[in-house]
Parts: sequence; C-alpha cells; structure tokens
Amino acid sequence: MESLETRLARVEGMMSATLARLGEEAGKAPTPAPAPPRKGVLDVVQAFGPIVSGLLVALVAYVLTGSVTQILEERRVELSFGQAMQPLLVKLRDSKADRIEAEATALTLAVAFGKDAALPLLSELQTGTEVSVPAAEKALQALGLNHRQPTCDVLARAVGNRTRLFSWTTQRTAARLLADLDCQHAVPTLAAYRAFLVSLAAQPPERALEEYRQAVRDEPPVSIGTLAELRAAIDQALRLLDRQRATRPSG
Amino acid sequence: MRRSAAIVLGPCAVGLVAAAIFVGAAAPVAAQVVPCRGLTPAAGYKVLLDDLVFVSPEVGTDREMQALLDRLQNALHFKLEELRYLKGPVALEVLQCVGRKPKSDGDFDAGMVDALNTRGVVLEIWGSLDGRKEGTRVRDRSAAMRYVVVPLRHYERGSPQLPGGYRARYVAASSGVDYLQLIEQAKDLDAYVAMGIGIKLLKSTEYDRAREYLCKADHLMRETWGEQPPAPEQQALVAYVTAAAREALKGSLGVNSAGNVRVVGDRPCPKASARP
Repeated sequence: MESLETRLARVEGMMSATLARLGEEAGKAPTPAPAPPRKGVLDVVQAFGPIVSGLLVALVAYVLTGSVTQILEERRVELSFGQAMQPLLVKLRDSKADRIEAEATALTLAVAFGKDAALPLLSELQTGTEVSVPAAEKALQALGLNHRQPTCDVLARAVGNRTRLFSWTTQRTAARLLADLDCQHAVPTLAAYRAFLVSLAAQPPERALEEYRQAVRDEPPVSIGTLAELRAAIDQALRLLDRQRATRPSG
Repeated sequence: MRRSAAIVLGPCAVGLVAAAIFVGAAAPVAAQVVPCRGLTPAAGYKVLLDDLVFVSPEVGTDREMQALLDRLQNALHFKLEELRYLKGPVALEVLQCVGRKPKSDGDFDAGMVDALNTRGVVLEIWGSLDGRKEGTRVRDRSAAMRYVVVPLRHYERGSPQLPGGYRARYVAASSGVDYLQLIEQAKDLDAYVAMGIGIKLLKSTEYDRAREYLCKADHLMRETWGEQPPAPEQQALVAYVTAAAREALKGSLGVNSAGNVRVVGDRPCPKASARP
C-alpha cells in the first residue's frame, strides 16, 4: 500500500508533466487576439492621411492653376488691349490728325478701354503735341465720369511725384482734373504740393528754381512766373474740392 | 474675355454720351488745326506761320503759295530781328506749320491756347490772299490776315475787350507790291509779337525786359493806329499794353515803395521821339 505522500507526489508529477506538455503545446499555438484598443486621432490621421494629402494637393493645384490661369488671362487681355490701343495712340499723335480727330480718338480710347486708358492718356498729357494734349485732357475728364477712382489715382500719382518724371504743365493739368473729377482723396497730395510751393516762395528765386528743378522735369522750362501760376492752379483745385465737399449731403 | 467684355461694355453708356457731348460741342468750330511740326516745349518764343490760301485759284497756284510761304518765313525771321535783341538776346523763331488752317478764333479754345502758351508761342498767323488777274499780272493785291496773340488770349481769357484774336487787311498801293511785301510791311504784326513776348516776360517777373517789350508794342501800335486808335479793340489793346508796362515798371522798381509809385506816373513808356 502506497503511502499517501507517495501517491500525492506521483499525482503532483503527473500534473507537472501535463502542465509542461500543455505549456509546450501552448507555445506552438497562436496567441489569442488581444482586445482591440480604442482608435485615436493619430490612427484616423494615419488612416485618412493619404486621402487628405491627396485632396490637399489637388486643392492647391486647383487654386494655383486658377491663379496662374487668371494671371495669364489678365496678361493676355492687357496685351490685346495694348495691341488694340496702339493704332489709336498712333492716330492721336498723327501729324495730319486735326483737333476734332484727336479729340475723337482720345475719347474712343477712354470709352473703349476704360480705366486702362488712364495711363496712356496721362502720358499724352506729358509728351503730346499742342493738339493731342488738350484732347487727352478732355478724354481724362470723360474717363473720370465713369471710372473716377482709378483715374483719380493715376492723376494723384502724377501730382505727388517728385522724381522729375512729370513736367509742371502735366502736374498743373492733373491738379485741375483732380478738382474737376471731385477726387477728394487727393486733397492731402494737393496740400503737400502747395506746401512745397509755399516753401519755395520763401527762398531766393534762383535757389527756389534750382530746388524745383530737382523735383519736376524742366521741360517746358520753369520760371518764377511758372511757380506762381502753378500755385494758383493748386489753390484753385483745393478751393473747388473744398466747395464740392461742403455741398455734399452729410451721412 | 470676361474682363475685357466688362471693360468695353461697362462704360459705353456714359462714355458714348460723354463722347457725343465733347465731340459734338467741338464739331462746329474747328477747321484743320493739325499739330505744327517742329513746335516743342523747348525754351524760346515762337511765331507760328500757318497756311495762307489764295481766295481765287487764278491768283496763284499751290506751288506758288508754298514758295511764298517759304519766302515769308525767312522774311519774318529777319523782320523780327530787332525784337531778338531789344534788351538782351531772346530766342525767337518763326515756324511754318504746313497744313494748319484755322478757320476762326474759335479754334483757339482754352486747352489749345494753354498748350501753345506753354510751348512759348507768342503769335499765330494765318489768312487769305486776294487779287485781280489781268493777263499775266495780278492787280489789287490784298491780304486778309488773322492773328492770335497767344499769351493775351491765355491770361485774359474771357475778357470781351481783349479777345486775343485780331484781323487786319492790307491792300497793295500799287501793282508793284507783291504779297510778300504786303505782309512784311505790316507793323501791327511786330506789335503783336512784342506784346506777346512782353506779357510772357511780365508773367515770369522779368520786369525790366518786360517793360522794354511792352513799350515797344505800345510804340508800334501808336505808330500804326495813331495816338487815338479808331477801333474799340485797338483802344483796348493800347490801354492794356500801357497798363502792363506800368505794372512792369512798378515791378522793377518795387511796388511797396511810395517813392517808386510817384516815379511811375501815368505814362510808363518814354515817348517815341525819346527812344534811342
């Protein structure tokens, strides 16, 4: 008769062997799938990343393509405008074009090309003939009726320029037009010009002329009388703009 | 195309109305005022000699007219020699404006006159020549001339007494006087040029030289029209020139001095006999 201890030891051995065998078998068997973890933002990003980046690339490409197309379209329009303007500008300067023809041509420029005609017309004021200059002035008046802001901007730039780009006659005509077209935002520019002329008037004539010639093109030639004439024109423009502002209904 | 269409079509309504107003307003007055080749904003005073026309084709041909204009340009150049050196040298040239035929003073609106004034133009001349053909000779020659004194028209704009545009008719005293002599001998032409230069100098505050030219104009006008000119516009011109000469004298002496004002007196120009 086996003793109880012996029997227990044998059972214990059998169990150990069984457990060891089970352990071996368990090592060979696939591990059961762990419980699925909760999905985070990173996982979503990882999952949809390629799609999102693809969409972004497509969007950027679309936007870029649109802008490039728009720029190209604008360039194309500007080029076609330039080409279409050229014969009119040539005609405006034609030595055989009389006053009526010059006026009609300048007005056609203003009507057909709108605000894009402002710069060529300003250029005509500066470099045109005794026939085309008054025509350009009339055309700028007409242009300002329909495209006041861009016309005012171009004229104000001419009046405000101090790099000898424009002559005193161009600046005087531009000042006159700024008043005609009620360009209220140009008042500071005109006031600055007036202050410049006032400061010159306080100097000896030769020095004043020298300083003025540093800022404004000297063709037609500038004289002390010219400066007085110019100052009168600026004063008149400021007066007209002030009067126009006062007559405007408030609110 | 969208942008171009908007630009082209957008302003049409207002633009066309404006064009109609501007062009329509100018249409009835202008004839053939084309740019004068050679007229630039460069310094110096200029006299513009526009086309003259023969009233009747039997009086002269186009070729004869062109030859006359060339000779007249030279003749005027020498005729105005004295005015170049009246008080120090001034640049004064006569430019022939081929194809330029103003119809009336109405062609010289404010814009045109301003553009001419800034280019130093003191006088513009045009006109027509007439006569009676007898065989191969032309008798009873006459010239109907038109003058625009540009500085006067510019600075006195709107003054009914001083329109700045004047007419003169010269009739040949004998058949020996040709068209060139007829125009060349006109003293009022010199007076207008002297006045134009004088006004420009006065506006430039060159008072001494201004007075010299204005007094020269005063002298020539009185010599041509007499001490009491018959026509109101001639009287207005003489009065204007005298007043301008007085202003020049005051300017050269200094207007704020009471003593200087006394010196000025009523007649700022010396009498013709007192002139050197």
